[in-house]
Amino acid sequence: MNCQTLIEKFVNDRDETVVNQLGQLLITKELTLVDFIVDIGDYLQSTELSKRSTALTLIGNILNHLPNTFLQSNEIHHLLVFIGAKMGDHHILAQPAVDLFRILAKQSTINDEDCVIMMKSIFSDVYVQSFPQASRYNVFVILLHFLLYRLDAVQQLGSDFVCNFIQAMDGERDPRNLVLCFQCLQYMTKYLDIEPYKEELFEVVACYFPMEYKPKATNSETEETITHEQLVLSLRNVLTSNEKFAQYCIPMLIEKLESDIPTARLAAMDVFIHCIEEYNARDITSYLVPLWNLFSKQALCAENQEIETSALRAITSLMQLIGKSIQNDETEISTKKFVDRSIRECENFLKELDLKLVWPATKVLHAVARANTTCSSLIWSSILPLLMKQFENLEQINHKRTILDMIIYFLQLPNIRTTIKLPSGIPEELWILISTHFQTYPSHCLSLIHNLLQLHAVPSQVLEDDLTKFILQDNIADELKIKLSAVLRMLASSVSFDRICTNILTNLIQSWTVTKTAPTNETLECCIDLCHNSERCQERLERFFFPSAQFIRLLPSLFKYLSPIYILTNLFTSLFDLLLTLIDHDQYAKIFCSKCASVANESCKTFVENFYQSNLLNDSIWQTDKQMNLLVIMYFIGSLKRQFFQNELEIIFNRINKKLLEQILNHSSNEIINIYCYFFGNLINKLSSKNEIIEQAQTIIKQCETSLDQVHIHLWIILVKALILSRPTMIEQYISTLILWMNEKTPIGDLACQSLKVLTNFDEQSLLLSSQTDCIIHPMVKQIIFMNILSKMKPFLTNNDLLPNQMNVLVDLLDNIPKSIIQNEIISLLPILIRALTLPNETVWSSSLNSICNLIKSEPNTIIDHIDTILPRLTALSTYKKDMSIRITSLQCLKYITSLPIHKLQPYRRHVIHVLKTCVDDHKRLVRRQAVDTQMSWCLLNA
Amino acid sequence: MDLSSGPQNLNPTIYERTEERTVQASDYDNDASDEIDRREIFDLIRTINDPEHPLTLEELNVVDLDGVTIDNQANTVRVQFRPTIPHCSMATLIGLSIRAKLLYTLPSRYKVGVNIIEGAHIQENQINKQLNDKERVTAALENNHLRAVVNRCIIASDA
Repeated sequence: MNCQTLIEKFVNDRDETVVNQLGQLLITKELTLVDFIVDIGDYLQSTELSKRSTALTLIGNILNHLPNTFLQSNEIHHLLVFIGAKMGDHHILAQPAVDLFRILAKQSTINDEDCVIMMKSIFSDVYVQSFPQASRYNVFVILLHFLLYRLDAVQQLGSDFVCNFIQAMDGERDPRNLVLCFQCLQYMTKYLDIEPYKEELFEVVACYFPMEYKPKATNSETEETITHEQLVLSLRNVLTSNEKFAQYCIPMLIEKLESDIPTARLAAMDVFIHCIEEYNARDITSYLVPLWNLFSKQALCAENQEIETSALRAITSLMQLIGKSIQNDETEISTKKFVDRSIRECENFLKELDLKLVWPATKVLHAVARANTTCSSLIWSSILPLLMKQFENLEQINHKRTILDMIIYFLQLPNIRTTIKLPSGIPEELWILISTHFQTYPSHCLSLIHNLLQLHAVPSQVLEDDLTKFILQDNIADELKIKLSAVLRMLASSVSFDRICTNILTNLIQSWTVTKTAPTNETLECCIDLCHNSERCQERLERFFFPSAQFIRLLPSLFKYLSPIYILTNLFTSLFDLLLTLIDHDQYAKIFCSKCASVANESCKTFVENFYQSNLLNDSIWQTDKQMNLLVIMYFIGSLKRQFFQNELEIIFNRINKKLLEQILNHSSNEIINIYCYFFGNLINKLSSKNEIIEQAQTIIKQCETSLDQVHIHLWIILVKALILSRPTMIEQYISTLILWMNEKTPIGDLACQSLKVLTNFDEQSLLLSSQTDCIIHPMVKQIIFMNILSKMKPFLTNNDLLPNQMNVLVDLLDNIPKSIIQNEIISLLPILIRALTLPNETVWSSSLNSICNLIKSEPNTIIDHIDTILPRLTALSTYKKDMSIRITSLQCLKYITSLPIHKLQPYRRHVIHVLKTCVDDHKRLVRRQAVDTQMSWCLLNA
Repeated sequence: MDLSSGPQNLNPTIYERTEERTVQASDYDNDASDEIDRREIFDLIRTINDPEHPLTLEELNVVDLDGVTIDNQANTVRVQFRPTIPHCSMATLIGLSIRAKLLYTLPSRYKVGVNIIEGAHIQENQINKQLNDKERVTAALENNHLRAVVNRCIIASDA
């Protein structure tokens, strides 16, 4: 079929396949572009407007199909001149012409002259705003493309481009186009000379501020929509992009800040916060004081948290802007003058501790101090002495507390603390204040010490005694312990506090060596905290090495400062005997063994090799009196890193697997069997890259299936879990067997249900089968397991005779699964959950209620269809005598239900309120609290 | 009652809020029974909003823990409150809000009395009489406009 007929086909029948065919012909060079244009020429020059338009569309569609390197520079030029002429021809032709322009603009061979021609044609031949949205969009795409990649061409047009662009975008209302326009403007302000048109440019943008736009709800998810944030951000970027806007922008912001609309004020502050990068204080000298007044007013009388935060940030930005400009005592712009102003305005509020403005004023001053080092030292040197004086003069304890809180707050400066020092004299006074009031206000003093240490204020000798005395007292409250630990670690970490650290440590060690007693847990914990130093850790640790359960619990936090070989030879070996006595009941002993092994690297090869050669591969280890040794070894070996010990692990597995299996099947204690099983699973999981190991594991799994009893099923599930963790797809082989067992109405059914819990429980302390011990855990394993189980359980759910145990497992499962995974499923499962509430089996109620509660809270409307069944049940459970947590959860559910439309609830209201009358008289206070909450929601339903 | 004019006490003194009640281990023991105590009643009324200010009765010191008495044997509760100023026209409304909140949330076995602290208001006797007249309170809470105002005071408490 020749070109002419194809073109005819398109023009007459709109046959889209033609585009493809012609494109192919052009690419394979069976047809040249010139011939094609000649062939289509008749249509392009047809007297019928629709034919001309269709022909242009065809060219556009075909060129769109071709790669952007296809056209030659001269071809582009001719096309461009031709299309440019068409632009002015008729407004209907302008749209396909712009389409074509867009394709040509993106051709790689287009030269700068042609770019200029194209832009001139767009700006002069047509009025952009008269186009429909899609064509306007194309125009802006072309212009943005030139700004990004053809800046030279754009610069040839110079400020004419700016002027024309303003005309082109003036009045634009479509959000999609606006985002593009704002992007263009951002580049224009950066690279073009906007000086002659800066005011016009600002005006055309400023009319969109503050941006108010609510995206329409789209029906299809594929349709891309512009968000409010996107628009706000792009508009802000334009406004803050050039210092030349300052003189227009700041008055506009001031006007918005004075308005009553909180969103406008927020938007104005947001722009201000971001404009300080580009703007200069000297351009807006006369506005600085009004700005300060407005911001401080916002911060002091903020209606809500959001406004307060923004206002404080704006104050900081204002001070930073002022700080940027050149200044001395004579200049009008002076950091000192503004800091003085802020102190003058806020000082009085700081003295009236009963008034609500104390904290807002503190925050304002703090925001000023945060701006830069000059500000912070000015604020510190005038406010801190004032506060300290006030502290001494005040009598009420809660006033003193407030003052201390304020001092602590002033010393928190997150960004610049490394470079600044406190004004001289102040740290000394603060240390005195701390030492005199440590006993009375320990919590405040600890925070204060922490902040002072962060500012590198070297403490006096008194602090050592204070801290020692404090540590050695009994019963330190938990919240104080956290603060104390932070202080001690801070002392330990820096070289400048070395002396203090050593002294405190000596004092503490003496506290138990002199009396020949054992150190208390708290003291030991403090000693460990004092070792947190990368250089002196080992030295300090050796001074007070005190083997005890607590010591073992705390030690792993220091591992990052010590060498692996030291940890193994000095710590692990010397604590080995102690570990033997603890391993079977103390979780921390297990973690310690595992942590020791997980730090082992290349340098520890000999140690590890000797360790397992002499311990694990020695046959005497399997005797009953060596059981504890075996456990320690298992936790150790099970945590070795695959990266360094792959071969060793394989040797161990091959040597001991038969013995281990024998032990598992013949041992009497269930707990020990459990650990053995997990160790077995651990080795298999770590070696699962080797096919022969997988085959071995599968054989054992098969063997387990032949003799079904508790031990075999347990071993089966752990081995299956070990395999699934590294290769989740293997679940498909095993899940049906498990489901089959679950269906049996014998003890096997119950065992299988228990096993399913093992499989789906990831929080459980199964240390040996976790990523902590370097097992291979597939990143998507949870989702895959849950989705698989759910899909297999689906038939169960529709079938109504669910066994109580299965119901139990299922409800539990739903409670455990991360909500995002089952978002879609949960609604279909709701009837099951509600039915679970009516079962005589009380154990499922709690999990089922939890799931329902979460569901009602997040999506109350899903419950509407079941309200007849669920409300009577919830009211009944809210008076369930035996378990208070069930009462509380059902009351919570009842509360969340009140967010449903009132006409749905009205029929039940009287009854529910009646039942709640008994709940508010519950004998437990926590239940009453929830009941009151729920009662209020129901009583005030239509308020 | 004149609700339309502006606030009467423009600059009230603000007091600190008491900390939340700490939960003890025995609170989780289903077998132990916790009696309703003064603090619990106080927790019910301290979060009520003042009709004039965006502040709670506790922050304005209108109610405090000492003003609450409870007798679990006789099943009586007495709440005394202190209007911020002696000629406060909102006193009745505040009293009504306290009554309404307790009516909604307290077990029905209790007999509730709400009074102004002696000497804290110029029309003390009159208001006390109004507040403790069962019929008048019921009638007041059936008045739609008044109920809306009272509900606004007690509803925002948990928001």
